[in-house]
Amino acid sequence: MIQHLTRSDRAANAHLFRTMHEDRKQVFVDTLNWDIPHDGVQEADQYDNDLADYLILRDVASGDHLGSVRLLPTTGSHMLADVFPFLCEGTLPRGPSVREITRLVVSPSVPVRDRLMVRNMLGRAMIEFGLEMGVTKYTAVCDFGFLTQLLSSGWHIKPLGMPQIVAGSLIGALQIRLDRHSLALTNEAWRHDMPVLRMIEHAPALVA
Amino acid sequence: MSKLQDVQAFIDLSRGVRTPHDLHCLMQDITREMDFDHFALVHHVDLRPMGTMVEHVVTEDFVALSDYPQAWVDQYINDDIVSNDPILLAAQRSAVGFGWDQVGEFITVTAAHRELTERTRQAGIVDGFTVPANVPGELNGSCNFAVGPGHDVPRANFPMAQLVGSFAFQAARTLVTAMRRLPDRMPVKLTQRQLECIALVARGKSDWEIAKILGLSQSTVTTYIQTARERYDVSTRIQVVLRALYDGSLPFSELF
Repeated sequence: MIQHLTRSDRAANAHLFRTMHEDRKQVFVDTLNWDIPHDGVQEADQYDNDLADYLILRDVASGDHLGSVRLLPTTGSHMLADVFPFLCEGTLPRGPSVREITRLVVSPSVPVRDRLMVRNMLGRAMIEFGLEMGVTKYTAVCDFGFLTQLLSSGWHIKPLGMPQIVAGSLIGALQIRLDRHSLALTNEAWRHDMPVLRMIEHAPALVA
Repeated sequence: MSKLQDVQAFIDLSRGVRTPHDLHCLMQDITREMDFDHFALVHHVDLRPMGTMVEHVVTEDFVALSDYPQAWVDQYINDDIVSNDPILLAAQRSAVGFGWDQVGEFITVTAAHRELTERTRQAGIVDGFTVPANVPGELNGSCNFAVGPGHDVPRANFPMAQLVGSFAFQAARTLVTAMRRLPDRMPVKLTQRQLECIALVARGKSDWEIAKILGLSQSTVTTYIQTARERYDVSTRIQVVLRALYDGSLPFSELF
């Protein structure tokens, strides 16, 4: 099941958070070569703070992290405002109803055949979370190697600026519109394009 | 309008596209806007069974929209170049868009590839930029923008082309999915004469030619095809052919 957790839940979910930060190190630092802070085992930065919301898929048997996404409020300090403002032309969408999607990751321990399912569950969880919390827009910095796949979700996506090469990767800022149709539209698209939807539909409701 | 606003306007319009023809027109406009001469928005499939009329083919499985010179499209499809096109091979190995002079970074360019590149140039497709569009579990695809002779490839617009290409491919995927989602229609009954006409349309014959071949008047042929279009409720001759192929009225063997 996908859980909504914040930093206050860390103590009670120490193993889950630890394996999440380890997976993030393995994916973002070791595989994608992102130049971000880590201690050699775990990856964590200044945005892993009290304001961050995490949606985390936990392995029921082992308690390990299987996939997660970190959602940041945009009213204060966040990545598009602090680190990548040059990716956004014009006014940066921000405010109480805008969240920033960061550190979306599927654990390398998830077998290849299940990876899309985990990704899709996280996508669905983000919509459920957003609707519950009154989010109308998500923003994100996207590696464009992932753009076609992201667009295939059927979500209402808009670029906020031209893509640019940063540290060897083509990245760009995107906005994803969220409304009460998002889930139905997404589900329909997945039902036709990806045979994993049945399992997504059986995903337990988000624990808020 | 800034380039970003152009892209955003393109995206908004692409969401409203209902027919392959609409998307084709939209692609032509934005291609010129970006200072390219031609586009090809394609899944990487052998198109020989479809004939060479790929101006705007969208089936339940794939998309092929292009305004490349027709003579080149004919050669390309008849020779099944798609399976060894260095640009498309590179597109399967690259995650993001690339200029055609970068192809060597992704594949080992063989003598056959060089020969093909030369043929492509002679056909008027000199240089370009390709946006790969690979979705897990689906056919590989790409959106290609090309320039003709005497026209430098507009490098400054590569970031814009990257965005346009990605969103254009998604619009095309949506059309493909929509075809798949069409509710089961009442089976369409066509007469033997209508089918004979459509089989010849599939071979690229004009109404006049079909009239000569079948020994009918041209207006009779036009009426047969018009009626078939109405029965399928589609607006173009090519769509009639596709529908007739997919509902089995017209066997694929009629195309060869």
